[in-house]
Amino acid sequence: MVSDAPAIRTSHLTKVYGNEVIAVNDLTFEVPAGVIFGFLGPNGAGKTTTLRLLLGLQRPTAGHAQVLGHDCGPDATRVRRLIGYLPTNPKLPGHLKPFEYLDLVGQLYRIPADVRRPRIAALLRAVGLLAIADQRIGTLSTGETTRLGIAASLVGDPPLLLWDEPTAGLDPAARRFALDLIRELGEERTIVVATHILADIDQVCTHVGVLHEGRMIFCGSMTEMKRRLRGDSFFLELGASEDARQRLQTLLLDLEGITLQWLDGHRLRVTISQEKSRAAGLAEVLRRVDQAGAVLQSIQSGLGATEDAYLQLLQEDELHGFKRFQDAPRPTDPRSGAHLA
Amino acid sequence: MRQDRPIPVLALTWLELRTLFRSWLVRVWLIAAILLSFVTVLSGWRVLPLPVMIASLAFPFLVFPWFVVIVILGTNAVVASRMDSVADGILSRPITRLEFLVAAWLARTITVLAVFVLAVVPAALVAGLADRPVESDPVATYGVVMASLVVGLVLLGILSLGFVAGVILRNSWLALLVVLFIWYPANLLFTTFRLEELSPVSLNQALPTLLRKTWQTSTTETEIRPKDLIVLQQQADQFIQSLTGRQRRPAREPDFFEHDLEYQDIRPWRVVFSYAIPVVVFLGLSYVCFYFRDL
Repeated sequence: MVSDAPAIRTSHLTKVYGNEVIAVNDLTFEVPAGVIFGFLGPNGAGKTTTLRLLLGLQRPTAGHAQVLGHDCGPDATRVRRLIGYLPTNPKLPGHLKPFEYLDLVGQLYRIPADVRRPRIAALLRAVGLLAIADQRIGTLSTGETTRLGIAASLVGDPPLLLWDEPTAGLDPAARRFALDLIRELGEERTIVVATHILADIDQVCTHVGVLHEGRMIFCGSMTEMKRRLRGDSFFLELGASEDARQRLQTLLLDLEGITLQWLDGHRLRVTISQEKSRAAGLAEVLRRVDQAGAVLQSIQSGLGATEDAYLQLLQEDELHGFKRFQDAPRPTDPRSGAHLA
Repeated sequence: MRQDRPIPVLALTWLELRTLFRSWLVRVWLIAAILLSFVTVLSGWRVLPLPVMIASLAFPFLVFPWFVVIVILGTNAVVASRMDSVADGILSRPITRLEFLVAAWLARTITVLAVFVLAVVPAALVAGLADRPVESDPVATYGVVMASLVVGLVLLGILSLGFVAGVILRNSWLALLVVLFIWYPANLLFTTFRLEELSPVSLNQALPTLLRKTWQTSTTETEIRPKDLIVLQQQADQFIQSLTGRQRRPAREPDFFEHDLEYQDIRPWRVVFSYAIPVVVFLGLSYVCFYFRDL
């Protein structure tokens, strides 16, 4: 059923350039409808290639992809009608003016003129380009071109937005604008934001997919990602004399289900096991801190450490090495069902 | 109330047309073509009968130098240098690659025909309507219609050849070089193997004959007048000479493929058949190449 379909579904999606470069490697994932999905990965991880495969600008070497239940491909105009695409540093026809370009995009979406023109005027105002609407696109700055690209992605009022590095090359104010817009638009449509900037993902995304060397190494909610890695850790920053520290160490020895690790003289990592309540565990630790006469300066939840989580994911993926190959599905004999060599 | 939905191909064609007419290439070409037509009319004012004059006006488009401009226009439609903006700005929207190709080709076709009409028709009208000191040699309406059809088709064929070369080779200048290296030698082969309806040079020589044809004489084969050939040859020599600055070569013995000037069969249906099919094939080939390309 198309209406119940996830916003994006890929199955063993693979893209190899010239039998040499594996840009996307056996990618299978789903993006639920109605979420803000962060597509995270270092440069060259395959984020842009994946988006272009979804748009049908490139053809997969193997596997297939669907958007809202429709198959993707070079002539899948029905799919592209559902997508608003913002490329990285968009290259738009430089001789046109912003209104002319948006009008063209509106015509490609087959929007009648009496609907299209007021919408374009509203979009130009919304992205702050009304004042320079009479300039040619070729004369616009990077930030202004990106804003125009954002407006172009919204002309067709599509239910799915694919934005590739929307904050690339933007000044802080423009970046703030883009992130606020993503949050606002995410209330009524699905947004996929491809980026390598962790702070962007952290601020706006509800779900995340981490891509590394063309493979999806994690796909789930933001909370899941942080929890899975840093689990139930807290970081306590303490002001304590040597005596107080000695007393605290003694007091903490008999705590069950809680692991403690001094990171330096003042920072203590508290990891609470899955069986124990996080609140109760933390309360016990704080009571002993008080008993030892140490001063609590700050508490930081491990859930905030997106960067740690991301880096740990990449590190784990590097370490898996040959295991990845062993885990990969192998061809089977159709008669006996046995794996083929 | 029913709302009219825009047609993407027409929107894109309009965009391409605006892009083309804003480019220096088309602007300079248009001005130069009009000037050259003016010079051609002036230089042949007292010499050339009307059919030969019209053939002389068409010569730069069918043979040289506007032939080269038409090929360039074809080759720069779908080249690597503009693919980023095409992919980001247009093909990521709900439009098929076929629609984009058709729009790019259609816009170039309109441009080439528009320049041809603007450069040739006013000059031909002036030459035809003015009282010139040459023997009366009128053109027939049927001949004008058929000649327009033939020349239009040949221009489309040349444009489409450049178009497919640009799509396959992805580089405008490389595509131009390849077309030139293939096309001019191929013209010799067309003559040798009596496929002259494929040769713009031969077609240009046959234009005066075609222009004189009436509906009644259209089914009979009319010989190309040797006098036309001589006058056209002189006109072409003079033109090339003025471009290159070289002296006219002394008369020489004709090559073996030039001995027999009996070719007369520039019948319109043969030309239509010979050019319409390649145009369709070139467009089909362009689509197949473009469809399987990663952007």
